[in-house]
Amino acid sequence: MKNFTKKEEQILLAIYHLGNEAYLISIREKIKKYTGKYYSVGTIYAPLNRLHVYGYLTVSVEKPETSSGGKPIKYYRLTKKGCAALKAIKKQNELMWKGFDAPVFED
Amino acid sequence: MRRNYIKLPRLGFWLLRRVLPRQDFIYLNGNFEDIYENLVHSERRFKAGIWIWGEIFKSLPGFLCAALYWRMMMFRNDFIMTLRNIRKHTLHSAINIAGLSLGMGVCLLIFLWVQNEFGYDRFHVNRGEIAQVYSETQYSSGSSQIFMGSYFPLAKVLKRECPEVMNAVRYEFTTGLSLRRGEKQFMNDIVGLADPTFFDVFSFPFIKGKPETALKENYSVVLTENMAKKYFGSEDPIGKTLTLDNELDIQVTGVIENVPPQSSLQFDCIAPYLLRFAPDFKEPEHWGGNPLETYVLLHKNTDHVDVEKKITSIVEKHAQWETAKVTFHLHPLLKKHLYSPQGGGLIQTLVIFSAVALFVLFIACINFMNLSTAKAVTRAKEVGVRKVVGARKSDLIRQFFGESLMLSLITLVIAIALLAAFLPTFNELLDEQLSLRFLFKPVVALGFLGIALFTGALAGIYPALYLSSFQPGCILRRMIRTGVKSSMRKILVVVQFSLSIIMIISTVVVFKQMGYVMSTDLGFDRENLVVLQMSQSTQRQFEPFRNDLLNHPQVVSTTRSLQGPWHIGSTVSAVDWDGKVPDESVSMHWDYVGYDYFKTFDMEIIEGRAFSKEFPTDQKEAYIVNEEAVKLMDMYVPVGERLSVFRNEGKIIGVVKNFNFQPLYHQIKPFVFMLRPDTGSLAYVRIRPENISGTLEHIRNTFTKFEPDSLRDPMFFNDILTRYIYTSEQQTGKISSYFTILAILISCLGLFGLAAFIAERRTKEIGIRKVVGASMKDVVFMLSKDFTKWVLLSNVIAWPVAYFVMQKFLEKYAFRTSIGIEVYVLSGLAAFAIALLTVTYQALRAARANPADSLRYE
Repeated sequence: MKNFTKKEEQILLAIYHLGNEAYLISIREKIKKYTGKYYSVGTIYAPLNRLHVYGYLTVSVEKPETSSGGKPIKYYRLTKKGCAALKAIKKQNELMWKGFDAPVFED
Repeated sequence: MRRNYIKLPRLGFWLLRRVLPRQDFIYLNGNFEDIYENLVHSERRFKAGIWIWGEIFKSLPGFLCAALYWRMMMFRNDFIMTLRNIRKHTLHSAINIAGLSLGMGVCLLIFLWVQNEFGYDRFHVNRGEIAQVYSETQYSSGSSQIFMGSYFPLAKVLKRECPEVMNAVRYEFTTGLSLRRGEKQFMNDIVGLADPTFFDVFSFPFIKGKPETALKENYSVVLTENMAKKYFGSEDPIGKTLTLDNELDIQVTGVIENVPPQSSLQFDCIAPYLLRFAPDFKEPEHWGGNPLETYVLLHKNTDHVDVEKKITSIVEKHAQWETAKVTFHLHPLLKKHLYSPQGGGLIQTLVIFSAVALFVLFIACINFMNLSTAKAVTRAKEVGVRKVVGARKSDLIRQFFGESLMLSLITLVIAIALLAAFLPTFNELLDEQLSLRFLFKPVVALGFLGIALFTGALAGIYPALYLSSFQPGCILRRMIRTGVKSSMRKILVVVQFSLSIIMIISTVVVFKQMGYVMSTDLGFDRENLVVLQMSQSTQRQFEPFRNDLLNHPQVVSTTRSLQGPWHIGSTVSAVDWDGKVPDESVSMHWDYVGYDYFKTFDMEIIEGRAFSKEFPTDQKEAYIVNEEAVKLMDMYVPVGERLSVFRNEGKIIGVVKNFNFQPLYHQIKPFVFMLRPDTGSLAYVRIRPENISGTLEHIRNTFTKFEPDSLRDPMFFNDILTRYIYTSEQQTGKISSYFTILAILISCLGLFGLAAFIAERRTKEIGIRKVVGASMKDVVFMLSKDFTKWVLLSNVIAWPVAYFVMQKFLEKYAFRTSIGIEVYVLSGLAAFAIALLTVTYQALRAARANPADSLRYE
């Protein structure tokens, strides 16, 4: 399996949670909600585009009537490959976190 | 209903338009507009303006990263494509790579050499402010002569009286002196003599001792590191004594680092200039020309012309020459190695070879262009498909251009390997010490890379433009034809062969001139003449030495002289004769010679007699002049006329036929011989042509008897000419012949590829022709007809250019060979024959093929 970066992982998860409503701005807001960190458009776009090209995401362009003044918007959805990737990430994470106890430091 | 939404600030929009990926621009722009709109609704408009700018700038690195990422992916793709193409078209790629790496190798070699030559004397701290003072003497006849030699008092006077001159130093080097320490004695060290200010002007770092005081004592010497090691081993040399020429004890006062090879001044040790006048150290005050060099250190940003005028007037005041008009000039140290004040110099050779190297590279690039465009058909489909899928013209240009750049980088590696292989040969040829270690110098590394990229660009730009301009519709409907742009190809082949033919002719002419120089009648017999350089002690015992030499049946006669008649530069203006126009400034070249001089050189005395022992007065008041001098003095019966040279009255006793005492660049000038049987370090031995090696053995044995430590070998007169006088011609001839062979080879490689390609394209046509009844002869003729035309056309272009170039080359010779039409015709024919052979091979192969094979698949 390809090793995903943290950012890619966050984006995949955000898209998963957003379901049908995942586009760049909403992804950004979602990640902000989870992590408190506001990524710039460019920082989100680069991995998003990469994930799309490698086939983890599909894209559909829609023209909503009201929300954006008629501008076309690219919506992202997970593909089968994307879902499998998320599962794999989860498995990998669990494996790594297994047996973890909050360590106690002695000063 | 469409809501009235707010657009981005115009400048921000423009910026995003540049940066955002094209295919996603409209969505991303929409995203930014959304953000901006939200901001405007929730915040004040001004704050929102600032905020959106923050967003845009924060996004930039992300977008750039994304762009870079895809660029890299594309690059990887292009790289794989290039490798595949190289592998698929093996012959085509092999020809390209071979040609380009040869051409590039030549360029790298010349670049390495040129940058090395330009690095001379740059290690001096004051490099920009040091200049050599030289003089130019004007004669009444209108001619003038340049003397690099200077005057004893010049340095002192300039330092004292010329405010612009910060420091001045005299420098001279001798090689004939021996240095001894106890039993250790070496002969061939270069002993430099210089004023104590030497180390203030020039920067030679000291290892031991102090530069300020090193040459203050009259009996002192500063050694280079190697020299110190040679004489003293690991001992500390400071304070120890060396014996100079078995007479003077001098004390080592300092050790300096070895003189770098890139220095115009080369010496093994430096002694005070005054040592020349030991033991009384009385400096002569007269203003007569001497072999010493005077260097001045000027203040920063001094105008040279001003200083030259000042020096001229200062010297005029002191020297009070009667007749001759002398002007002084400055020759900057940084120009010393490359330019000669007489005009020309090494720089000419460098320019010629840089041009030739570029020619060779250009020829290789033409191969690349021709083969790439010829192969266009095979790649046309690729171009078509790429265009249909969405590649723009600029994408294709980038791809093809990238391919040629990549190929040039591959060839750079091969070229460097070739360079490493041929560097030793080249070094030997030029007497240089170039090495690949120079690659670690940033200039060289960047230069090499630059040459590679330049090659890639030169070779790739035309094919890239050509290939990318195909229309996908035409290609995919198979409407593309090969013949469309072949006129360009023809022109390029003609250019290629013109360059090659010019190079052949030039090489032939250089060799022809060299042959002329080595065989023309100099006015004396140069064959079987052996030259020896004697040390001081042998010079003093010349008579016994001479008798021992003559004590062999094959030795005809011997003599000695002060200067070698391969290059006699010194002149005398203090000449007077009856009937000379007063105040007329003239000059004659002169030499001190021994008895039997004219017999040994086999010079013809056309009037009067040679110097003879029977006339004891010959030693003081007898002169022998050449025909040119007679012409100058305008005498009907010169023998017996009064002549005074160096203010020494005497009579002309003989006239010698004109002879060349200088390289053949110069016309023969007036000359006067004076008899001094006890001066002169050069001995000449005339031997019979039989059993030369035996006679040489005898000469060598005699010489070692008198000079047991000498490393100097007897040399033939002709060898001196080739080795020391006409070195640049020798080098030029050899190097240009190598380069010419390379140029021809590369041109033929290209022709070979082109012929192979055309034969392949016309396989079907040939098949049909053969079926219909064409003979093999017809087919071969048909295929080679075009090439023949091109090469013949190249000849027509090359001849006038070569004529012009060679006229320029021969201009510097006063005595030159004639270039007949046969040189051109033969060179042209040679190129033609080689080209024809190349093409005929391919034509024959195509003509031999069985027509059934080529037609079967129809």
